[in-house]
Amino acid sequence: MGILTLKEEIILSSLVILGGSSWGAPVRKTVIQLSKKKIVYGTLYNLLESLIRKGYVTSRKGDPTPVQGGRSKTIYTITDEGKLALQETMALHENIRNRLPSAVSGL
Amino acid sequence: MGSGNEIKTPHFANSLLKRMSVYNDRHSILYDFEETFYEIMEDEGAFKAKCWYWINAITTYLEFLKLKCLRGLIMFFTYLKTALRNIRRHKKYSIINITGLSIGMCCCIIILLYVKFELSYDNYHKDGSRVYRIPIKKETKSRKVAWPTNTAALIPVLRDKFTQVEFAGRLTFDNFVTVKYKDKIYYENNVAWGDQDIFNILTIGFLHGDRLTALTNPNTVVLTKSTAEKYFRGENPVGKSININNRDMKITGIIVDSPQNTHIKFNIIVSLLSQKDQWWMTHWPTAMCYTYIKLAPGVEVDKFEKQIADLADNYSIESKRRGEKITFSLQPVKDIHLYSHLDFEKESPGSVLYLFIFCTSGILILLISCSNYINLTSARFSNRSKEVGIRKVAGACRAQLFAQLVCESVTISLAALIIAVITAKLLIPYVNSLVGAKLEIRNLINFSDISGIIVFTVITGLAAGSYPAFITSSLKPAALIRNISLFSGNRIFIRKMLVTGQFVISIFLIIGSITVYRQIGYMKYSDPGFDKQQKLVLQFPAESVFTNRLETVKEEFGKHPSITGAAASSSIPGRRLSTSRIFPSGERAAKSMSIKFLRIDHDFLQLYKIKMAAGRPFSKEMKSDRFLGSIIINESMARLNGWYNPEEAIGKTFYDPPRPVVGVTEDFNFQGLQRSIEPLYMNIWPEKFAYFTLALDIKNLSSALSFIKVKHLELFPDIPFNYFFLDSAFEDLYQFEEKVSRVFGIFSLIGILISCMGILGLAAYTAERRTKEIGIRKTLGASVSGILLLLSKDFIKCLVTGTLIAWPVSYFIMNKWLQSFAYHTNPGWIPFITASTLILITAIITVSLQILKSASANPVDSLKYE
Repeated sequence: MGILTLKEEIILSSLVILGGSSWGAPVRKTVIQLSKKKIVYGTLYNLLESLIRKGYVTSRKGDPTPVQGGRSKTIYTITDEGKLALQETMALHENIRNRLPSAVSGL
Repeated sequence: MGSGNEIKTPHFANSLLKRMSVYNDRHSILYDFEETFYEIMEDEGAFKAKCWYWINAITTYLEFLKLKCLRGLIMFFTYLKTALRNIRRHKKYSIINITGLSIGMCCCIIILLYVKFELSYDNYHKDGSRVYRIPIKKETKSRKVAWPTNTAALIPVLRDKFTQVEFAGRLTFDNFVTVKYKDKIYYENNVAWGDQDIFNILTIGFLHGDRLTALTNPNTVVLTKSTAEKYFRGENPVGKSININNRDMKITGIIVDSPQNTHIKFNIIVSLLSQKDQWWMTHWPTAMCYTYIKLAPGVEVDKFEKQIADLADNYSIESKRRGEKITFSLQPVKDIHLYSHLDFEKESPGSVLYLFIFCTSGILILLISCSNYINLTSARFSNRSKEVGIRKVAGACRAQLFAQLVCESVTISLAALIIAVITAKLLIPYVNSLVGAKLEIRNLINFSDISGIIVFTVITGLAAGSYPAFITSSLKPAALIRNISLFSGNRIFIRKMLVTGQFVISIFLIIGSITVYRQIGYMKYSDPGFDKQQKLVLQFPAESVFTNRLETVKEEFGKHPSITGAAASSSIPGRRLSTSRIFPSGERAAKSMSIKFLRIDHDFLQLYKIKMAAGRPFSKEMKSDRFLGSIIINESMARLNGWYNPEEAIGKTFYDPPRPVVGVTEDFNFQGLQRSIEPLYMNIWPEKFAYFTLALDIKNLSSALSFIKVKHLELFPDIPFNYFFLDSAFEDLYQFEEKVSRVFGIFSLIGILISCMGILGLAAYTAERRTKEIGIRKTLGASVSGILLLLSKDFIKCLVTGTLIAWPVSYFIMNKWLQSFAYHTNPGWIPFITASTLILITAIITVSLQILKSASANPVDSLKYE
């Protein structure tokens, strides 16, 4: 499995934080909380698309809302491969942190 | 989640989001947006929420577009890769296609450059819409004449009395002006005398000197850069003195060389004030100067023309008496090159007619190559039906197939464009020398032209590819794999029509060039009525170089054994002759005519072997010839005066005091066989002799030439040595027709080439299509030649139809063109038969090459398929 880009890492982490599955809005909120920067839905969807294509995330349609003509949410779930990729990326960060001289790693 | 809340999400933003339909399905955008909207509304209020909504909706849409573009780009590159692979796979077709199309495009590019060039004449003058020239139109009872020059006296009147005229200036020209600086002495042509105001009317760039005062004083002159280089290499000439026609002039400026695209070009401009005492500056009936004015802004041309109409009456009291009508009109300078139909223009003008013909030919050629391209592409696609069928079975969707096939054909046309541009760049120097223009590819590098060309190429690719791609992609795979021909019935007919059309055009072009070539040959080699072989002509300024020493000069030159005769004259056949007023004695008022004249000496008629129809040539023994001013006329002049038997003319007199006609010559072509022979009269006037003709024996040409040069220096030390051969000078009269012939020839070649391409492609297609049929026929015993004939039958039919159409049309058109010449050949059978035979042979060769392969193939192989 591959190393994730930073944005992909943040999104996958958010999914995990939210319990492994979520729809778009909470993901966005979590990402903003984590990175302290606003993210636009468009970027979010694009990244999710590419994550889906790589096989780290699956999407399915949830149940429609009980209102007539209600839309159904799409729910994104992180896959095993995704979790693996996340682990590898975390390991990389750990590695880097261990190897950096203490002056920098203390930051 | 929003129910019970009166505030809804912004409607328009929602519709924007809804447009991302695909996205929408996969990502429940509206849902997420709504949720976040209400959250923000709770936290920060409705206004902030709406702002957020709008901003995010738009940015999300942009992201969506970004994704789509990326996807589209990737798709495009995939198609491109496939397209290139396919092109390489069917090399033969592709090469034929690209070559055919690029020939057509190359032609078009060159023609486009030429048309732009011709249209750009004199378009660079500042305030060009207000710049006019004033020509004169004269209507007599029998004819209308118009000439581009006007009286010098007009300008002061216009300048002083009319406020509508902002600037007014004159330019008058002289050739063979002797210019001397230190030890450099040359004849200069295109020497102009002009007013200072000319610089305010026409835009002439100054490199040195002051534009506003350059010619305000008499005896000042400006030179063009290259003229200055000739005399003052390296030095700065401004302020120095140069000698022009034995007068010292001060150089006050250096101007840029005249660009190619102007109707009036000069090497030197001398201040017109230097001539202010000349008689023709104030003599109304003499029209020596090109007259230019710049109207003040807002002046209406028609009104102004009416206002100066009265001035025309001043022109000549004599003219008025004769009942001639003189009009001045305003001619926009930028229209002169293409639309001026005046006689005696300084430079042979372009012609809108020929421009139009070029454009049409260019469009024709492009149409031919495009139709070939379309034909060939559809043939190619139908041959690939098997490949397409398999891809469909493998799951390719129809839109994809369509897009990919179209992409292929667009790639081919773009490739053809690149090749065309490169070829055009290489060919332009040759075209320039052929047509006498200065075209550059650089002229096309501007936004509108480049985008126009690229758009056109892409459209051709689209057009060529879309119809066959449409059909190919829509058929069921089963049909495709079984290789059923897509193009039957109607479409074969269209294709045959296209091929026939090409034949028609190619045949017409060949007939045209052969006819033009024959006409030119006829004009050049038919007997003009005088002997132009082996004559060397020396040219002199028309001052009295020969006064009182004509005989001595002739004797001196006669000393060389190769020089067999000499004669002097005011002009020679082939150079323009001037006209002068002449009238039968006693009828000055009633019968005054403007007739061309030649001043000749006693030996002229004999040297040129001009035959007499009646009477005798001038002779030294008859002193009256010189002192009474005897006249010799030609037959046309005799007929003009009603003497249909030339003998009647002898003894009749012209002028008062009367001068007798002593001889009538047979008509001889002094003007080129395009025109019929005009009336001509000749007399002796040694002061006007400007040409000296020597008859040479070509055996010792080089020694004769050096002898002549030495003698010239001896006898005329102050005059530059300038000579030419009469026959080549005479041929120069046909320059224009030569140009036309060459261009026609090139077009025919191109037409043939392109038709070849077309036939080649179609033959290949046919051959491949009918491989099985050929195999069967062979097993049944047909011979290779029999099969060849069978397959060529279609083409032969097209050729015959093409011939039947092309012959009458070409005959009609070429006949009309030939009629415009006073002396012309008949179209004759030769061009027609040659054209059709040429095309026939070309077609047969091309077709055979293709078909031979299939015709001689082993039937076993071809029948193995199913």
